[in-house]
Amino acid sequence: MKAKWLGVALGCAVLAGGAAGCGQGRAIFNVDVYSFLKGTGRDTLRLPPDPLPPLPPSTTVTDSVTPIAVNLPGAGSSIVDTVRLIGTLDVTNPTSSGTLTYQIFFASSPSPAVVYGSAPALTVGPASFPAATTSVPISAPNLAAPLRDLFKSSALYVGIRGTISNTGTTGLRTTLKLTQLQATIIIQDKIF
Amino acid sequence: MRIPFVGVGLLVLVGGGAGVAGAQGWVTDARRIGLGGLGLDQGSLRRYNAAYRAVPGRAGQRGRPKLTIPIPLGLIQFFHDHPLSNIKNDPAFNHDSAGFNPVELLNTFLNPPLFLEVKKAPTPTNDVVFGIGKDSLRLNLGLTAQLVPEDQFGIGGSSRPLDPGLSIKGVRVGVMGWVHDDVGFQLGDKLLGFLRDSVPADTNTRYNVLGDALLEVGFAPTVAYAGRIAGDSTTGLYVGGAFHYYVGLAYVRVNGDGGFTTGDSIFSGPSPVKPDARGLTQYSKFGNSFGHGVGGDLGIAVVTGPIELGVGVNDIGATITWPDTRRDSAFYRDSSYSRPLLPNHIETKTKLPVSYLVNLAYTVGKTTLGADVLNSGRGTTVHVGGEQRVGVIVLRGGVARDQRKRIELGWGGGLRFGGLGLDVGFWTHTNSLSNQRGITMATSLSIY
Repeated sequence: MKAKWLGVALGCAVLAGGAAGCGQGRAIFNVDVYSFLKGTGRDTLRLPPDPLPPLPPSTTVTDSVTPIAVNLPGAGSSIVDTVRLIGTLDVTNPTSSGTLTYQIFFASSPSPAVVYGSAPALTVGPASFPAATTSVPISAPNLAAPLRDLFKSSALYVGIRGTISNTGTTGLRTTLKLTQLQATIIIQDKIF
Repeated sequence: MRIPFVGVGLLVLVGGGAGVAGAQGWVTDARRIGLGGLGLDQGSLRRYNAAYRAVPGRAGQRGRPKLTIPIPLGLIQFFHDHPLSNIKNDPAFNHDSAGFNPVELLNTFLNPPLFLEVKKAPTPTNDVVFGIGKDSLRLNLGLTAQLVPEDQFGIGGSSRPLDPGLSIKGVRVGVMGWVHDDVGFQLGDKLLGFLRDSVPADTNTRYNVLGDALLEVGFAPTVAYAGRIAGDSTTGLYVGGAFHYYVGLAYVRVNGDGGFTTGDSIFSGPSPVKPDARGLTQYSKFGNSFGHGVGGDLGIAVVTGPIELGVGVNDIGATITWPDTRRDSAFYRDSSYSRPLLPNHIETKTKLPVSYLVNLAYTVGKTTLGADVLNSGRGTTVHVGGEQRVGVIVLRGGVARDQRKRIELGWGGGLRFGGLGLDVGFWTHTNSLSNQRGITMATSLSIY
């Protein structure tokens, strides 16, 4: 159904006619993935998850969110040339220092087993963080070809998994909060 | 990305672009193309000015060809590039092909390849950027947005493909064939803003396109008069008029309104957009009852030595009454389709557009200069041009302001050997979906 929207939009784009040459006639979709996560609680990972106590030193905990759907245009048989991801992750109010690994998964199925059973599209870390709020950039210049092909469908499911290890001497509790995640999808298919 | 809406877009573009196509009118005579679209010979002036049947040929004019045959060099090239045997797999027409470009296809429609395109307007290659969020959609067409039509756009006009008759002492009795076609589209304000001004899509908002099309054909028994009412053959005042009894053979008119309405959220929920369309078709088929109407033409021409001035108006008051019209309506909304019943076999009326031509010609020696303002039903065009005869050679040039108010140039020449003439004409055009002009080379053979 979401493809319908984009179909309409694309039809309108074609409707609009041609123009002087600039660019290469590609369709570029700037998808604000974060907007689909925001307000659902799935942009945030509380580690260790409530109601568990703070993570003791030299231990590790992992948690993930229930996959969430992101609507895409549906590129059919077109070639997805590039899928670029950029974003920002905040490590909020950690009670100790530690290291984190933050992984983003994409799959065509909403099943957590499928989403988290595949290789992560993007892994941030392992990266150390101090006992203070820190922003960690997320960046992937281009996803692997099999993952890019997932962006041809009209719906994509996003999973997020975070792992933290306590390298400090006191118990660690923190919140990994995504504050921005944007996918730029470049489709090598001449509209004009 | 090959989605049905591309087809929808194409259809609308056909309408939109067709307005462009009609901007300079269809001309198959290389002589006229070389004059930038100016009709200098009396043959083309008679079409719009009833008085010109009485105006004698200009001194030095080489006579009117009995037949002009376009030489379709463009078709030869086209079928060489796109052989019919492989048309299904041709990337230019197969929308599943990676090389398919709908704009290129549209350009083919807008510039039927009868003549050779010596300079093709470049196919637009814009990147199109969509901004998508859970509750937002924005489209950035870049420079393409400038081409999104703000006003109604379309193609249309009236023509008289046949006009046989007999003349005795200025009075002419004949039967004229007539065709009136008109196709127009207009983007709704919301859709216009979305496409042209990159306004983000809004929730619970309808985005639509209005369209209408009309085609009617018939014949008209005609009584006409043209004669000189003052002066002599070098300086005279000529008037002409024609009375037509229009008989309509068939007509169809379609009015439509199609679009989509956004939901409470742009990109969430089960139905983010609900497409809808409604259409009303009115028609009277061939063999059904005839349409009837009356109308007339008026014309006046003044010749004072080398100067010729004329004003002609056609199809004045030409309203056709169709006594037995069938009406069909259709309504589509988000997968549900209905055909509400409407009263049928009713009387409807159509109106032929009033067309007019104001022309001026000046002949001195072997040079003829001219200008005209023409409106044949959808927009006004202005042409200024001239030709110079040098022995068997004729050189031509002209400039026009088309219906898009763009300046176009024409130039060319011809050779005449006895009863045979070969002409070539070039003209610039903006019939393509491009901001840049293309150049067409027309060739035609004339038999005198």
